[in-house]
Amino acid sequence: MIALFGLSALALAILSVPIFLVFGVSSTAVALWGLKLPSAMLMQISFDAMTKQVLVAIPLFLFAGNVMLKGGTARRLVDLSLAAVGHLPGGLALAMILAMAFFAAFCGSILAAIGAIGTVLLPTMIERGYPKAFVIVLAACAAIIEALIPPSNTAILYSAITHVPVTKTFAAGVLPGLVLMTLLMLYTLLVCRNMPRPPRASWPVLRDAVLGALPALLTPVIIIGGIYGGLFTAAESAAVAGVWGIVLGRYIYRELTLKGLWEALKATAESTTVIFAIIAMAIFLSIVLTYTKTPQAIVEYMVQLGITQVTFFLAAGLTLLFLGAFIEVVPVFYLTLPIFIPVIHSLKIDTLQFYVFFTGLVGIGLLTPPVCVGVYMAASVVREPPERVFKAVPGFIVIGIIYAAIMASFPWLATWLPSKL
Amino acid sequence: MRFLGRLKGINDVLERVVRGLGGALIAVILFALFASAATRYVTGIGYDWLTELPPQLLPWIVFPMIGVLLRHDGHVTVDVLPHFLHGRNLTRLRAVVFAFSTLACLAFAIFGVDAVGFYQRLGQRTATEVEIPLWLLYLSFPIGFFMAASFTGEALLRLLVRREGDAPVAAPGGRA
Repeated sequence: MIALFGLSALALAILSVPIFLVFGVSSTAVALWGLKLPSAMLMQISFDAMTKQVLVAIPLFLFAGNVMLKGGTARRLVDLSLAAVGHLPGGLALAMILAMAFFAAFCGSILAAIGAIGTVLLPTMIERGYPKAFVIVLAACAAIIEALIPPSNTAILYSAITHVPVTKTFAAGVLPGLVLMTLLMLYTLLVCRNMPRPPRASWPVLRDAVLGALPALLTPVIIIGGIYGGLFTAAESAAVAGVWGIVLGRYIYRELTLKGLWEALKATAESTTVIFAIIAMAIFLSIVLTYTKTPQAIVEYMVQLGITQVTFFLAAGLTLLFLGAFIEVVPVFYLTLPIFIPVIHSLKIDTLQFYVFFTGLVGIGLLTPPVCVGVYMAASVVREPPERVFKAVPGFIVIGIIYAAIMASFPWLATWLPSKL
Repeated sequence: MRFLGRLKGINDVLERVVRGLGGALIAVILFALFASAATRYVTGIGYDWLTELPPQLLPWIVFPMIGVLLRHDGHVTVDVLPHFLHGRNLTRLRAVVFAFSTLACLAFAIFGVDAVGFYQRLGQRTATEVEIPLWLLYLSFPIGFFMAASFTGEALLRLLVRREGDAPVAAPGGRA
């Protein structure tokens, strides 16, 4: 049964059929004709998966990112980052990483971060002689910080699938996000050490940058403070972030027009559909796996093999790197987590540790060709053909592997902060 | 050609309606959840329906919009094969994908009609403060997939009747 699913899904995916249809058609065929499940039941399960309360935060964090992009917030964050670290070797690239980390604390979308920060910084960096391929892939890789630092849509998805409270997954991503940021900054210092260095920002410039970004910097305080202070749920905090984004863009920075607001709403509906179409259909795969008891069979097989935590992390890491080269983030979640989760429980690996390991490696999939939406997005910002920047990808894959090894070796990086909140 | 022109005209109108509906529903979700937090913070009283309504609106954003994204090459795909194909072979691949998508969307739409009828007969409602008939939520599924079939059918027909010099039809993949 699973072989039938696998073969049909593989054939459809290779033909470049949209992934939600790959999941939907293959799983439905197995469920209806193989397992004799009623179609009404499948639809009910699909709707239940889509309408989980926690998932409604995803479109709202996407909206917060879109509205802050159109409302001038991203530019203020870039100005602040440039004033803070622009004078260091490779300062512009360091500023991009820092700005991505700031932006990560406002919205949950990796692509929104690349669009928002990359649009402002990438052309300037290329104009000043930074290696084009390196900075484009850096923009895509730095956006992975977005997936770790809360609020993060990947954390929400992980919580929805694994039933770990979203407050825990949000907190688990903070230290690993800072680790990834540090690794990227060290690599940037190494590669861009000979780039021309602009003078250090004067105190008045730094002060103006801080004051300009201050209203925007309140956003993470509102979101995270609201959630952990018990004032809002994750979904409500996303709504508050969205409304605060409107207030910022329209009344404080005065750059958000009504047309821009309407475009942000429509763009959010589109991005929401891309994600939720996959959720609605990928859940059928979970049904097939449950009815065929595939995860249990895999766990039993691994127990018989005497697999250890180390070998599991290695196997999972290789699987994620391979899948990431061909499939995007959301489908990888639904394809692998229903199988991985029972295994990590049986091996007594912490769910939060696996979350930060998993997210980092799935994020690397945004860089690995042929399916590397992060690189495509960053390259499109500066109208560069993506194939010309692939040569810079291997260095970042090494960074990703180092990050994953750290996460696999030091579980407290993921578990310490959630245990304190 | 006249049929294709009419189909395109209908789909253009549908697309505008669906995009408008999607944007408006996102705004409703945003302000409902904001109001939920604000009223609870200010008055100490929470209204359950403000938090329960937004997730129920998501299917009415997602399913109608599926077709619009299929029409504009907006869904996630494993975009490997199109990199290796060119000219007529790429066109054939696109035609196969659009034809498959049309059939799949029609099949889902028909399943959806059956399921909606089933839940309508059962008379089940959501377990929320404001009870909504389940079939009303599920109706988004067949409607969305019927529209998606119309959009992909149009894309397939455009591909089949395309002449030299015509604007290219959107590739089946590409977003990835």
